Amino acid sequence: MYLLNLGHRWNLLGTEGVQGVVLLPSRNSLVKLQRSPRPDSQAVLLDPQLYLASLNAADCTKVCANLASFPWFGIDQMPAFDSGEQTRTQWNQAMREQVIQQWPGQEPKDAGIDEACRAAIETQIQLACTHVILPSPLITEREDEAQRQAEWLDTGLLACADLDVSQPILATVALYDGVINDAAFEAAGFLDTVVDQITAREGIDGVYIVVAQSKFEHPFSTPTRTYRAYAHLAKAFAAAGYDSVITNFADAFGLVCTAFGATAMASGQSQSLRRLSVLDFRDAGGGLAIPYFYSHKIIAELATETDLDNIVAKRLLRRVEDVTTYSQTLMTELAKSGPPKGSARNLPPWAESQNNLTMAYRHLVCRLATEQAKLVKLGSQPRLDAVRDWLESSTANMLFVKDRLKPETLKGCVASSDVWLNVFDELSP
Amino acid sequence: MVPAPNAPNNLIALLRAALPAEFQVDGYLDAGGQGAVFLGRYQTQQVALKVFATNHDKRRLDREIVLLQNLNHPNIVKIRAATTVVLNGAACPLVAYEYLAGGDLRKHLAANAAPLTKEQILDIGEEIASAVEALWLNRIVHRDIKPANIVDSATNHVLVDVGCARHVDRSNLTLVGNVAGTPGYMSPEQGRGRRNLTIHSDIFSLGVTLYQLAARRHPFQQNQGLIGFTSPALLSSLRADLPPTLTGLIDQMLSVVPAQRPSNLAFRFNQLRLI
Repeated sequence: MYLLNLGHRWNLLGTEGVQGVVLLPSRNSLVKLQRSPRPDSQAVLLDPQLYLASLNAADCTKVCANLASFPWFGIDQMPAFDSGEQTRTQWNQAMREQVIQQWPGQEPKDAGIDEACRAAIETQIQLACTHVILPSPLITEREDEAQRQAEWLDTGLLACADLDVSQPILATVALYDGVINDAAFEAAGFLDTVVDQITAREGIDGVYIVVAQSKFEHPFSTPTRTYRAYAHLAKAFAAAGYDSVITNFADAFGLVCTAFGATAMASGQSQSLRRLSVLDFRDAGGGLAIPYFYSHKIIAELATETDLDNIVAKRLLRRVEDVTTYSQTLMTELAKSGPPKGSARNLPPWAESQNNLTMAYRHLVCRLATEQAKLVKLGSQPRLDAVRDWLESSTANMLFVKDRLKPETLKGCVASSDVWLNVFDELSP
Repeated sequence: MVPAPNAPNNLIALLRAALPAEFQVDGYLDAGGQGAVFLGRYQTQQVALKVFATNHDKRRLDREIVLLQNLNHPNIVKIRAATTVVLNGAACPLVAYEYLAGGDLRKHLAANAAPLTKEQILDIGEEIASAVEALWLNRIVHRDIKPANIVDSATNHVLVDVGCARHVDRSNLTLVGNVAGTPGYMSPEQGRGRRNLTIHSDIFSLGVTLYQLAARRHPFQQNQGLIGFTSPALLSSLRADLPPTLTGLIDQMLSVVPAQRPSNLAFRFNQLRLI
């Protein structure tokens, strides 16, 4: 199952192939979630995002204001929304002004843990979520041995029993990539400690895995240790027999995790919804983006005119073509033999202009969702074979494309599929 | 300080003088890393009196006493009473456990002992797994499961020496580098000094115990240094007469990776009786 991370804009909800959504408190206030129609999806999850409790409110005011509207962050002095008194924009502004003073910068402690867990569970039930994700702090120290995570998990499980939760219960694994060193991957090493803490407990139906990055890279340029951690955790939890093993913010690498038994992957359209980097939450930054065409064949994003025009000129379209409902017209256009040759500039939804993103986003989401759906239908060995074939062929294709394009280079970003293949080889039986 | 265990008569005399009236001491049973054990009486009941060394963490012990007094599991030793005695000027915790006759499982490792039958292995496996699971429900890990800590009572097997068990929510009570447990029986993670162990660690130690009892050979030659770095011979190669499902289950208990050790263990041992 592919789950779409819902950011500020929910305009991609109906994209073909999307079977579920993840509501993100960092991008949506509780008031917005309560007042918006529930997404009509097979799965609706709310990630409590407690792992963002240590954000700096002075740098990340907008995001912290959203988070502060959820009761499990332990702030009870924030202004309540009253539609008779103010607009939502006015309320958002009031939240931002106050959050800088009120934001604790850490997760609740002691008795606050129980209150936070209950609030997170009750909110998910009120929002008619199909699963309950238990909140968990970010694991930032190896020496802690995931002890804080275990305390939150025990408290959350007790609260679920007390509240008679009927939805599947998911434990959160939220890992900061700074804690992942080579020794973490050893047998009975740190990652196995994290897995041990969860698998030793009864009453858990699945896990929800996020790995937060310390850097600010394109989702295709994520550090290798982050990829390894996702794959290692997905494989370990799948082997433990959970019904749901969900990766989020691994982007297309979620397909590799699917090969190792992950049952679902969540991602989004924009870079900040496809990766989890604390730097994404700063108020500064962002800016205007241009559309990139996702090619699954070479695991790359190609600037729709700059790159694709070169590719067409060098007769390489067959190496990168990728047809979905949303890219069909673009593929047809590019296939025109000309003269003049086809180009995205002739198709307004694909023209390489600022903020012209919707069609490229829909194509990316649809492509990954479709691939994920195909993979999960396969048995375990055919699934591994399919992902290996994809990684091997994309590596070869990319080498060929880059070579043929010389002296031109690609403006878009290319995944390190050879690195992904190494990770795959390390873990595949 | 608790007197040296090689002077039991002196110890007994010392303890007799220090005990409150409702306790009596009749003889000396054993000495361990955390204290000495005497045969005695509490009120009218025969008990094993364990005197803990003064360096034993009293807060931890107090919590365990409360918990074990409430646990009431047939395969976990029961606590009859607890107090403090002053020995040579030092206040030492004293716990009166139910006295279990029958001896511990080391008797099955003697050179002239008959090999354990499938039924005996299943009995030990199911009963001690049940005890371990009951402890874990309270988030307690025993940390020292071995043949010497399982008593073969008249009716069942009982896990004793829960003195070094600890609550997983009190990580600050274990000093860094202070690894409790017995070399050769500790899980790889326990041997590395991990503090917040789970039930999976006890399952490993129980696996070592069952393997040793079944094969009459320690899977790692009593060497903690080998655990996690070498794989023992498959139990089926040493006990071909046992069902592969049983030997396979015990082998799986010795997995290096905690999450790969079997869960619902008592139930699984019970199910193997049907084979």
